[in-house]
Parts: sequence; structure tokens; C-alpha cells
Amino acid sequence: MTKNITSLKAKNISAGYGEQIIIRNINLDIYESSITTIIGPNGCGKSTFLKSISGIINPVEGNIEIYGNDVTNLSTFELSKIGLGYVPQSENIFPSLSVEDNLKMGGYILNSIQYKKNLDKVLDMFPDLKSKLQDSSSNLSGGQRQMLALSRALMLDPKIIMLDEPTAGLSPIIVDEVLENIISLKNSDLSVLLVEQNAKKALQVSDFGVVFSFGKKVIEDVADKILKDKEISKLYLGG
Amino acid sequence: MKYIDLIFENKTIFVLFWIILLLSLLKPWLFVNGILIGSLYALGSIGLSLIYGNLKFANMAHGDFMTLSSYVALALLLFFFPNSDQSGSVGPFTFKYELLIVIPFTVVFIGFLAVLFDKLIYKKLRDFGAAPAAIALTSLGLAVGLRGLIQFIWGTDSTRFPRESKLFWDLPFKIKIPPDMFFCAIVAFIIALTFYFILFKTKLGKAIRATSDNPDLARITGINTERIILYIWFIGGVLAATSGILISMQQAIITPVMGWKILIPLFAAVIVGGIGNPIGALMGGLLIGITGEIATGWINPSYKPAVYFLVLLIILLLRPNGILGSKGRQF
Amino acid sequence: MDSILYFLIGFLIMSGIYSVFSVGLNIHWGHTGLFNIGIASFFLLGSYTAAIISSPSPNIEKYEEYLWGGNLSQLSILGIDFWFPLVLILSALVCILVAIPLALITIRLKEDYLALVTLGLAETLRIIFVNESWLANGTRGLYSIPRPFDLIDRGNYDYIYFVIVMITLALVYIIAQRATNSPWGRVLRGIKDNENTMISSGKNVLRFKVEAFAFGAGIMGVGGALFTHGKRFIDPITFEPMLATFIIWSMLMVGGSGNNRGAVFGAFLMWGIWTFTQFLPGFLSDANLRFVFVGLIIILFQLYKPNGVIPAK
Repeated sequence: MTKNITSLKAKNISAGYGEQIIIRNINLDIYESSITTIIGPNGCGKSTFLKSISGIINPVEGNIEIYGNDVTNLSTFELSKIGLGYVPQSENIFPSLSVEDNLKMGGYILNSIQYKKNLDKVLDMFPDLKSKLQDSSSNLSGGQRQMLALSRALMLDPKIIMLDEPTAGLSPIIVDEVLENIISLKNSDLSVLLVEQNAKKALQVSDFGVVFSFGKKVIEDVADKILKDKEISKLYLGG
Repeated sequence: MKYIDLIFENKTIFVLFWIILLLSLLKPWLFVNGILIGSLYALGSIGLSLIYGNLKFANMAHGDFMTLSSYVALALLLFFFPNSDQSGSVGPFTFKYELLIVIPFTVVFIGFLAVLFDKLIYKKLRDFGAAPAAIALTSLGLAVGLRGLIQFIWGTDSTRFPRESKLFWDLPFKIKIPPDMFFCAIVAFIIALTFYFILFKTKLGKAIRATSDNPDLARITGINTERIILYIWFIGGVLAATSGILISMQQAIITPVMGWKILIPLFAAVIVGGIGNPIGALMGGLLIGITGEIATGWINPSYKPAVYFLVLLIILLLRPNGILGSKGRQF
Repeated sequence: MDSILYFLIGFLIMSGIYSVFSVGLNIHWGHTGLFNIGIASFFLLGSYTAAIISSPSPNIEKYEEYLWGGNLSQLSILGIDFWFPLVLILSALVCILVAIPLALITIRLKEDYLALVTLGLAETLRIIFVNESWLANGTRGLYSIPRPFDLIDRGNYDYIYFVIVMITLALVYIIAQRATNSPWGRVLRGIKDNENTMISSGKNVLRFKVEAFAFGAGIMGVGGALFTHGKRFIDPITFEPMLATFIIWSMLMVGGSGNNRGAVFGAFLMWGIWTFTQFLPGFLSDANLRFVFVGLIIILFQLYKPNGVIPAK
């Protein structure tokens, strides 16, 4: 596994909610055309890390670079314009809008020609959504919801995409389907940053693995090695 | 358990519906009046509901925006058309055509004023994450300040737009409609429909609904939610201004307290329809208007505000989320 | 010189009465976070209760429209006006009895629903007292309301009433202070800071909120009664929201919500500004500018100093 160009660089990030700091001094690089998965127990700060990268919460210290440009002070909507896609864990679609309007919001900043082009591309990737465009998005099944959330994020052709537990609450068959979709993402130049509870399955499709514990990064390595390491398995992968 | 509740709730609504229907059959002229007045309440409550649903606080200054717009329209009218008293009125209506010229300018002005107040006040409160009640309290301060300013500039006495008396339209079943009331109701419905079109058929409207659903997610998708909020304030201001001016036209009186007094029926309408639900606010406004008018058939008309209050209490007791339910997430 | 002193005493009486309201509002907003914009409701209820139960019924020569007066002021034990504390307690009680069902309906819902309901109640009560003249003489109002402890000559009575107000204020202050520093008060503050923590620690938050609302409303009832016997004339216009609700909010904002000392300080300061600005020259003394000022005070303190000038410890 070769390390390609660094697409996202998080330097010394600390962040939390209000006075409460949840993650401390996290350094992490992710690379073009690769999948990096963050695993760790509940409450270790995985989601907080993604939120601080996307600007939903502001890091109290540290810097974020995307392809060498400092983006620490950009607001969330500006980050999405320069190619950072993000799918939060829950509440990741707009339930009062139709499926098509969800995608339209995904491509909010595009002009109509680009929008059509990207819509076709995304629908090719997720043909299931095609027949449901006019449906209310609140009627979608769990798996379809994740697909919609993912397609919404892809509408802007991101360079980096962060997915927060895309398989949470899905049946095993659908989990595999979603993970396949994620693998297909990296075939373009996309870098994927994944946070997963289904640690084993996620690491199997990943290039790199990172372990968080109590708000700190404790291990960072090639995914295969983490999977094979007995101690890590025992501690974080459920034996 | 859930289903029992549902039947119970439906039953009460069912019963209330039939009571109102029966009473309106007894005195149909009150029912017609109720629809006409209710359409004006509807316009005011759509704006209020829009702000309540999106910015998550009860905007106590909405009524005083309505008052202010009537005074501004009157001031513009008297300034640019000092002779409008002498000019003829429009068709069967009591108002002068000059009023129709100044209304659009007033409405846009109030819209921008709402945007300005967001930049000066509400943006700051959002930035440090103030609680909804704290924001509502600040809007109360704005309401008081605006009323003081109105009274300082235009005095505490009531006034009215220049008008010319006209005959009422006589319809069967003792229904008498002042032509103005009909005009105002039609305009109110047209504006409500336009707003509905904007909210559900345009990209901006969808972005507003997306922001209302989930502001964080809206930002993630690249929507500049701060700008969307400015649009919301502008639209809210325009709706408040239109309904304020129409109410002043229809009731042929402008007073500094009119906006404050109308808050209770407006909020009742918003809650009946479900906060943030524009169709609900429209229905709620009509329902409140009809209920208030029908009540005057049997009780002292000066108790109308008490009837609105009673409706508000009943709704809070039986269906706190509104009859139509609020859209998307419940708070 | 005497007239200035008399004016000052009058000013201090009103400041003291407003302090009682401000302390009551502080229980609602400052300590518990309950948003009550219908202070006028409890102001009115307390005032009318006190006036009706203490005044005599109208006699035949003097035609009045109302039916009944409790004539409680005739009650004295050993020549001491025990009726007055009784009036204060009964006024508080009436407010508490009205506050409890209102709180039960709204407090389980969104926090600003309480504001809407109190707002509606204030307007509704005012309309009732305007229209039902058998109740309290309608728009003509009740007047010649009895004076408590009417011991010295009428011309100097205000000095006595000043003492009465100050003693009542001190009692209300001590009770509020005791209550808010008790474990009960700490739960209220906990609810205000983080309701969910309190729920998860097993506290019946709804119950505490209803109690706090009733307690604050009771204090406001005492304030209303004090007002009645000080002014000795009340009519429905007395309870317009400006002087019966908004100004009290500005008092609490200035003084610092969450802190009873600040509530009293704010009442004296704001009533001072309200009273003495009428001596400003020209348009500056316009009463409507004072409206603007009250509005601005609420906005600016919310924006820049939400804890007031005397923040809670």
C-alpha cells in the first residue's frame, strides 16, 4: 500500500462542546485514493473529530489543511465548496424534502448544467434511487437513507469524503452493499475517511486504520496490520 | 395506548369541528366574516410561523412590525401624495389608489428592516448560542422599543388611511360584506399562495425548508445558512407588513397597540397549524378568525381576545403540536 | 422642601413595590428560566383581590356598579390592623391558585408557550374587569381603598406606608433568599442550567417548575396588593403591559437575573430613571421615549450583559 499525495492533514486538533474538551491533540493525514478508517469505543471522540474537521464545531486548537491549503477558519458551507464532503451519522437527510430535492440541496451551489451532469452520475452509482426521486425521503428504508445521504454528499464531486458510521443500524446484507459502494468511491481520486462501529468489516475494505481511545489517537497503521494484531483485536475489535 | 390517544384526540377535534360548523349554519354571515378576517390573521401567522419554525423562537416583535408598517405606509402616503384625501377611491373600495402605490415600497422597506434587526441583534444571539426564551425576550424588548418609537413619532391616538365611505355588499342569508374586507382577503390569499409557491417550488424555498429541518446538514451541503436566515427575515417582514397594512385597511383604524393585541390570535393560529407549517398557519388563521367571529354571535364582542386565548389554551391542552402537526422534526 | 421629601417618599414607595415584582420575576426567570410576559396578570389579580376584599360593599347613596366588598379593613384585633397581612396572604393565594393550572398546561411543552399563555391571560383578565362591572366597578375602577395602619394624620400617611412597603419588601426578600438558597432553590438553578441532568438525576422537573411558577406568582400577588393600598385607586388601565410587565423585565435585566439583590437594585434604578426623566427638558421628557428606553435596556442587556450589573455569584 503506497502512500499517495496527502489530501487532508489534521494537525494537533483539540475540540469539544462548550467548556468540555473531547478530543485532544490529534494528528492525522489521509491520502488520495485511499480509505482510512477510525475505530474505537463509544464516546472516544470519533464523531467529534469529524465534526471539528467539517467546521460544525470549531476546534479550540490545531490546524486543518486540504491539499496544502490552511482551511481551519473556513465555515462549513465554504468547506463543502472546496471539496470536503461529509455524511453525519444520524439525521443526514432532509426528511421534509423529497428524494430529488435532497439531491438538489446536495448540489445547491451548482448551476443547472453541472447539476444535471452530477445527478446522472450519482444516479448511475445508486440506480435504486432513480425510481424513488419523487418520494418523500422520510419514507425511505434505512439502507436507502444511507444511499441518499451518500449521494447527496457526492453531488458536489468532493475530493475528500468523511462518513460517520454509514452502516449503523443496517442489516448485514445492506452493510456489505454500503461498504462496496465505499470501495468504489476510492477508484476515482477520492479520499475516504470512515468512522465505523463495524470495525472488522470496515478495516477489511480500508487501506489505513486509526484507533481512538479517550479522545486521543492511540494507534495508526496499515489496515491489514491492525486487523492481524492480536492485542488490538482483543481491545477494540471484539476478540 | 398511542392509538387510544389518537382516537381521543381525533374525537375532540371531530366534536369541535361539528360545533363550529353547526354554529356557522345558524349564523352564516358570521362564518363569512370569519373567513375574511381569518385570511388576514392567516397572512400574519404564516410569517410568524416561518420565523418560529426556522429560527426556533417566538418572535414577540412580529405584531409591532405589523403596526410599524401601517404607520410607514400612512407616512409615505401623506408625504408623497398630500392630496390623496381629495382623490377618488378605487372602484367599490374605500381606499385611494395612491395607497396601492406606497404599499409595495413599505413592504420592501419593512422586509429590509427585519434583515437589519437580524444583523444587529439576532445574529449576535445565535452566535453565542442563546436559548430560545432569551431570544424571545430580546424580541420582546424590540417590540416595546418599536411601539415607543411609533408613539413618539406618530402619537398614541388612533389614525386611519384616507378613505371614502362605501356601501356594503348585500348577499343572501344576511351576509353583508364590506368590499374592502373582500379585497384584503383576496390579496391575503394571493400572497399566501405566492409564499407557498416560493417555499415548495423554488430552490430558495427548498433551501429554507432544508435549513429549517437541519441547519448543520444544510451547511454541510454547501448552503450558506446565514444568508438563508436573512431571506427568512425578509420574507417574514414582508408577510408581517402586508398583513399589518391589510388589517389597517380592513378595520379602517391604525393604533399603536394593534400589533401587540394581535399576537395572541396569531400565535394561536401558528400553534393550531403546527409551528413551521405554512399551510397549517393558513388553516389556523382561518380557524381562529371563524371561531372569533362566530363567538361574537352569542357573547359580547369585546370578549373576542378572550376567545382567542381560550382556543390557545384548548389547543395546548389537546394538541400541543397542532392539528396538522409540525413538519419534520418535533421540538 | 417638604414637597420634595414627599415626592421622594412616593418614589421610594413605588420602587419598593416594583422591587417585590422584580424579586417575583426573578424566581421565574432568573432562578428557573420560566418566561412570563404576563406579569400584569398577577399584578392585576393581586391588586383586585386586595381591593375587593378590603373595601366595603357599595352603599345605596353612593351608586356604584359592583356588588360585593369584603370590608376586611374593619377587622382589627386589639386595635392593630391584622387585616393587612391577611390581605397580602390572600392576594398571594389567589395568584398561586391561578398560576398552578396555567403552569400545568404549558410547562410540559415548549418553554415559550408559557409566555404566550401568560400574555393571553393578562389581556383576558383586563377585558373581564372592563366588562364585568359587577365584579369591580368596570372602567370606573375601585377607589378610596382602605389604608392599613392609618394612625397619623392623612397628609403624612405616605411615611407610614413607606415603612409598610419596606417591611413587606424585606420579608419577601428574606423568604425569596431563603427559598433560593435552599436545596429546593439549587434544584431550580440546576433546571435552568441543564434540565436534562436534573431529569436524569431523578428530579421531578415539572413539579419543581410548577412550584417555582406558583411561588413567583404569589410574590407578584403581594406586590399587587401593596400597589393597591398605596395608590388607593385601581382600574383596568392600571394594568397595561408597559408599567405592569415590560418595565419589570427591564428592572430584572439591569439588576441581574438569578440574584435577588440585583432584582431589587434594578427596580430602584429603573424606576428612578423612569420617574426622573420626566423632568428632562423638551421632547426628552416624552413618555414614549421611556418606552424606547425600556425596550433598548432589555435588548442591550440581553446582548452585552445577560447577567446584569450585579451578576449572581
